[in-house]
Amino acid sequence: MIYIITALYSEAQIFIGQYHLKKNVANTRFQEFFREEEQIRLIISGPGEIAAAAAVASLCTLYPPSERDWLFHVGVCAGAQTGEIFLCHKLIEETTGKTFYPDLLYRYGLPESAITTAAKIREESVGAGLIDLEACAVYQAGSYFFQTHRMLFVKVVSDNGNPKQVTAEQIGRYMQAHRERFVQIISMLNEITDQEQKEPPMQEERIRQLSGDLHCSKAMEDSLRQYLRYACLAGIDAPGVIRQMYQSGLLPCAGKKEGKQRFEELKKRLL
Amino acid sequence: MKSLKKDYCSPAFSHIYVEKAVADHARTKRILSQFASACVIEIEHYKDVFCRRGQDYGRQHRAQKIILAEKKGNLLYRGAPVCQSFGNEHFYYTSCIMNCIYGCEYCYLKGMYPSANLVIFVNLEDFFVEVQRLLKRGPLYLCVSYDTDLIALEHIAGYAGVWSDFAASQENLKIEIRTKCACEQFFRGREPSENVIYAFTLSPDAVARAYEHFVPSLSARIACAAKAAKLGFAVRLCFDPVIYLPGWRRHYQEMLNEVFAAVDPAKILDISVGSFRIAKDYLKNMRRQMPDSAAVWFPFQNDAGYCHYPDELMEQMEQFLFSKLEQWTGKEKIFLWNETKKQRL
Repeated sequence: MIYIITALYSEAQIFIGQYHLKKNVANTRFQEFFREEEQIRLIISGPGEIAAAAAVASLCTLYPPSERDWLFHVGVCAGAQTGEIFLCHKLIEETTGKTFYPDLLYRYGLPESAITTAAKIREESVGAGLIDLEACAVYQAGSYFFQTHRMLFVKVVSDNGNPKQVTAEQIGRYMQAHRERFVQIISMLNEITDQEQKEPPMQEERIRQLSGDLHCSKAMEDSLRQYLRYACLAGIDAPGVIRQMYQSGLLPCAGKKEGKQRFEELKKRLL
Repeated sequence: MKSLKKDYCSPAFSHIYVEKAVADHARTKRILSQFASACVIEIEHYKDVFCRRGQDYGRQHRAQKIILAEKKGNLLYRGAPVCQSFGNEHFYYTSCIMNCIYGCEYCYLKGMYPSANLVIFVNLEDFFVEVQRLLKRGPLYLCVSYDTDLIALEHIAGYAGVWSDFAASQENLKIEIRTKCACEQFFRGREPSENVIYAFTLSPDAVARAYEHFVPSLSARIACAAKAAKLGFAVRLCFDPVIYLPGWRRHYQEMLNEVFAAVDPAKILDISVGSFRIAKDYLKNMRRQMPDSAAVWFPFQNDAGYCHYPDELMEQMEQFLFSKLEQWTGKEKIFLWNETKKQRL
């Protein structure tokens, strides 16, 4: 699942249209859009740090993310290069001076920049770097739910310190100009997630059955799991060894005493 | 836009984080000059990046970054009880670089550090001052390549050479530079010194193939150790950690045959032997980071916070190595990580 956070509807519109996201009318605090088939859930926080942090916390509490999910903060910001898109590699919180660094483990193919999250809109020219109102808050709230490399901050420059002159339509156009990049990033995040999907190393039912047949205590069962996991990872034919013990009548055991003996036997055979 | 479909991971050292305080340091500039296309990010303190919450060591290692920083506070540490002192009373180690470019699944660094990024402390002279201060108290045995592989990083940092030259110039100082590298080039044109021990960690090919990623082959490591010994450098062979895998006797025997077919035992300073052992907390972190690694998911025995192979297996493995090595080098040159065991063997 990709959790997209934007501050404004005009920033979200491109994703709502591209992925045919539906509004979740049950969410009365924030505007929320989703589409399960696309594995996307989008929330519009409203501008500012507190709103952004509240939106992230709200979304992640309602739909707790797994370690395979992504937090994608996207929107416009102030900067010198109007219309350009940037991946943020350093987030600076103006009010506290704190800095945050999303882990850039993947190749997103975007130019990079630091971004400063200010408490209020700047009315003067920005100079070098980018300025927004939310990124640091999204990171800080997001870090309770996501690993650093699962958080992604992408910004499009909409103005150079004169945001009041920028209309919602203009923001929509700036975002639309990078539609292809957004689509590629989302498709890449989904592909990485798919690649990382793995089969569980052991079948729970078979372990429980074996544990029962060995009359395992809790400690013995933990140890049994450890041995089976190791055998599975090391390419040892544990199912074959266990099958042989059943076939030769060593399993199932009649009681705990016999179970302990058989467990020791099994451990020796596995190693 | 470049296609993102096949090549997702950032290349190694695509980003270099530099502490503001060392931005103008000569070593910083030299290291940065080798990575012209890297994105340089200014930071206040290396821990702002290195100690972030929620990092993934395994994935980070595939896209390692460099952090250039200044080491403050304690620069030298007393050797840990699970590390061999080789009979040296004042046994210390230091970490002028943290982390390694090699990806050994059993490496304790994965359990010890929160991040896989390489931290290079550029204020090496401060380490030397501290060494000289300790030398005033008496002889010092210092391991400088425990939490990294200095020779493997020589092309980036150049620290193995600098440490070697420094140690050669100091009385009563003995340093150990441990490596899995096979860089014969390093030894060419360098003067041997009895103050500098080059310790080559060797593992059977089967272990290397299964658990040591991006590491030179056994034969390359042996060739390098043999070359260094032949040139008169003090060479230590480290069969530590000894890693279990099915058929371990055969694999270790084959490795020893290969080692002593190339290396003259008389030219070896000494040998260290130790089966895999690790602090319980480190192992816990490693298992979380590497859910698919047989090396760390072995059902170890926990004794007072240290995990190791079950007693019987541990004894068998160490006894096996000891008895085979003894035939080539004699007992005197062999050091076991737990020296009290040596009397029993």
